[in-house]
Amino acid sequence: MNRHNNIATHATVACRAVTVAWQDEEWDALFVSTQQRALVRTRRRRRLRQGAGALALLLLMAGGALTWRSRLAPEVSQPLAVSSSEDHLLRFSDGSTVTMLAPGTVVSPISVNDEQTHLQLVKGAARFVVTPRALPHFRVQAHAVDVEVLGTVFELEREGDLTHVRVEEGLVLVRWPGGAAEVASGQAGWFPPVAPAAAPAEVPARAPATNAQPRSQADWRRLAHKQEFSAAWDVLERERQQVKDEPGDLLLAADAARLGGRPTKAVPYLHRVVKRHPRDARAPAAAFTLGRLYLDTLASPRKAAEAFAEAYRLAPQGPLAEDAAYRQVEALVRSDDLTAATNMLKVYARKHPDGARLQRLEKLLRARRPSP
Amino acid sequence: MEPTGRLRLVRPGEPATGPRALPPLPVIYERYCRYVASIAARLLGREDEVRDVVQDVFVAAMEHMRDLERADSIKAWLGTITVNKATSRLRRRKVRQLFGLDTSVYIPPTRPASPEQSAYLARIYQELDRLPVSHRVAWTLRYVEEEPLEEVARLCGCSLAAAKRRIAAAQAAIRHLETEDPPRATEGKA
Repeated sequence: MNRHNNIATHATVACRAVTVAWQDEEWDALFVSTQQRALVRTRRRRRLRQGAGALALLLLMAGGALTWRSRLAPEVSQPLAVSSSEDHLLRFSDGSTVTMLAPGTVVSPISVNDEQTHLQLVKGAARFVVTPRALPHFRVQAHAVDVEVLGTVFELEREGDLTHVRVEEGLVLVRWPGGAAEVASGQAGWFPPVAPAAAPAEVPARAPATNAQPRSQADWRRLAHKQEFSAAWDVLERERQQVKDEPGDLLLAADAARLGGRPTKAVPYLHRVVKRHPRDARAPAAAFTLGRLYLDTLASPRKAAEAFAEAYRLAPQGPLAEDAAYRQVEALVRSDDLTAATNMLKVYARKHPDGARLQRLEKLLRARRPSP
Repeated sequence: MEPTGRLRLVRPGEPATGPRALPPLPVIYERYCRYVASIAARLLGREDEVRDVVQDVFVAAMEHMRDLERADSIKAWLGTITVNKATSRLRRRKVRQLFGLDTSVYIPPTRPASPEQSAYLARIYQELDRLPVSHRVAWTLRYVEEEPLEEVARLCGCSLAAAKRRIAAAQAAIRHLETEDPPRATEGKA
């Protein structure tokens, strides 16, 4: 092999090591922004076509020979991704609407045309009012769950890998890998079901109703351990049952609230673990979960920063330390406390200089700094 | 009835079977986004531009997906779009360099790298930045992406002879790196 090939070999080996190391959330966020950009381009081309059509119409009216016909496309009155705490409403040309219910909710189009409206609930919660038609035409995908409707009013909320489905009117068909179920008016549930009793069935079965009879005190814990969180929280809240002031019970109650569709109710339980049981091995995880709740679900970045700081303080050498530091910087940036974010970034950089996420944080901070 | 020469999108949950069944877009993205990003990263050498290229590629994919003739060529088709988009970026970077507007942000490899390795990579990419874009792209596709010469010619939109000339010219231009001992890698060959 001659010397030129040697150089090419050394350089190529070095260059082959170049790649990207983004987290899953960054890949997801990039997909969302890509869909938004595609939608903006589609709408811009539609406006150009409509503008051209209006011009053609004018020419025709003025005696021109041009004719042009535009295909009707669903009207989208608002951006699909929302970042503020205001409710946002999407309206389609057939009268169907989508209302964002929580700050940070992101709904993205998969395909929208005259025959079918196919959306994706990326995160958060939304209410769907779908105009009835003869054939299924409205679908919403939420992680592994696919909801197909004929004409109905329903709500979806994503929580990690689970999706909560609540139907006000009509009927929806919920599919997930290996199973399906019909959810009728007045019913709700978490999907995919995780309890052994909810194994996939060939024939779609009715989802369990949430208006169950009162249960005994032991039952909320048993339901939560079976991961029937929605039912567990219903029992706990309706019967005002006691939660013991010990980390295991508090964390179980927090899970029942959080995964049972009431994330705000989980906050006091997580706070109690952190404040009253700081030496418990689970306290750092409770603080971290609290931070995630504040940042990702409740849109309170300042409180999230405090919670992540606490998670870091409780276990600076623990398995969550780097993540807690990273998310604390992120939360400080999002709360516009750039001075504190810069200081915390220095701490992160000292402790994790080789972290691929360091560049991400630096970029995040640069983007928020006002331009000179 | 399905139009001739067009693919139909498969509904989520429905198995994608047969040569004319195209997976849903989120599945395509999940399957190929890292592949697209890796090619873009090695062509561009800068993380800030990789995101934009990945976005450009999948926006183009969304707009033209249904024109694919065969679903099993999605990867090659995405690769072609990636090379085109990255080449456009490199050309714009050249123009910015002419006006002194280009800021260099180097992308580190994900493997544990010594400072010497990082510096060596930075020098390589600085040298590549000096090359004509067509030479740089051809060299990268041939030696880094290990594409056959015919494929390099196709992706570069030139003849086989032209592809060979461009690759040889790029190799000659980075010859002076021979005077340095390349740093030892901390892991095995890529």
